[in-house]
Amino acid sequence: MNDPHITKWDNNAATFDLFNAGIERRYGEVKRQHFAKATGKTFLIAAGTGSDFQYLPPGLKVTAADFSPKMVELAKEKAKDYDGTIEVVQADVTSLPYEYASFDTIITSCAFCSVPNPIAGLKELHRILKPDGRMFMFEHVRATNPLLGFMMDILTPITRKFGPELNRNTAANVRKAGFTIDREFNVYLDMVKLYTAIK
Amino acid sequence: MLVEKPVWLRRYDYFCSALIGAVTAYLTALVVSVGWPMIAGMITGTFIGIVVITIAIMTLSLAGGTFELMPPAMLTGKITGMTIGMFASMAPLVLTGVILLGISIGLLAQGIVHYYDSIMYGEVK
Repeated sequence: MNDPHITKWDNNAATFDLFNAGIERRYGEVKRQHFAKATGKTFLIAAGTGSDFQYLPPGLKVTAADFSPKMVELAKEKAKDYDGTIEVVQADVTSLPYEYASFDTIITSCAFCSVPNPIAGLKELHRILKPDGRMFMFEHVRATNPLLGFMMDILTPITRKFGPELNRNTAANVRKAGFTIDREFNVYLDMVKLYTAIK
Repeated sequence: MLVEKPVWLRRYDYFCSALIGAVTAYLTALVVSVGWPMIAGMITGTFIGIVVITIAIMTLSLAGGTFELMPPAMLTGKITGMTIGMFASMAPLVLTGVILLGISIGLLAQGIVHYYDSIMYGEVK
């Protein structure tokens, strides 16, 4: 495992929950409401340590993937508490081992700030989602305010070394991958957003 | 979907901004003294502000997350550092007054961002 992206997230695994506790505290309820619309066979990408499993509605058949083996190890423990089935797998979103139209729903939570090639990853999600299937996303993106956006551009080369990128234009990437954005909701300024995208 | 933001988190946001303002103001007033070129004082104050912001984001975000902390912290740290750096190079300052000014800038910055957020929050048409 010499991929620097995998190494970075492997290194973050042990302290991931500690550094994300504030985000979960603040946005947990928002995520729960957004992900409540998930139905059927569900694919959750960038599962991390599995902290988002608690926000999934009960009874789903979930496949949760992350490319960091250490994250997957921790997520498997949290998957045991879910009232449904969660299979946690190690996989790269740009090359998923699933057939065309395998899933009814896709969920992403702070995933496309970290995927090295976001458009390729989103195209792969588009491939595995059933026609008319929904993708529910909770993502942080570059602010449109010029001052905030500029600050995020300056900080990104630093944050990218140990964590996510701050200046992604995820809405544009989602559209480039072939999805239609059905709903966009500003959770904090226009930096933290919910998207519902349709194949 | 309109999730009510918890009051304690809102208070925490204001507390963080006030703290960042106070610490930046205090440290800048300690470092910059009368006789410095004004530009040097302002640049030094801004640099101190950036250091305080970085430490604040790494520590204070553990309780309330990074996103809400970052924009007001950026405004508070830089503006406070620059302002106090400018004043400290011009005349001797009373530390209590300096800290109060830092707190005021922090609360004002948070208030502006809070207002901006309340306008933007919700469905994007």
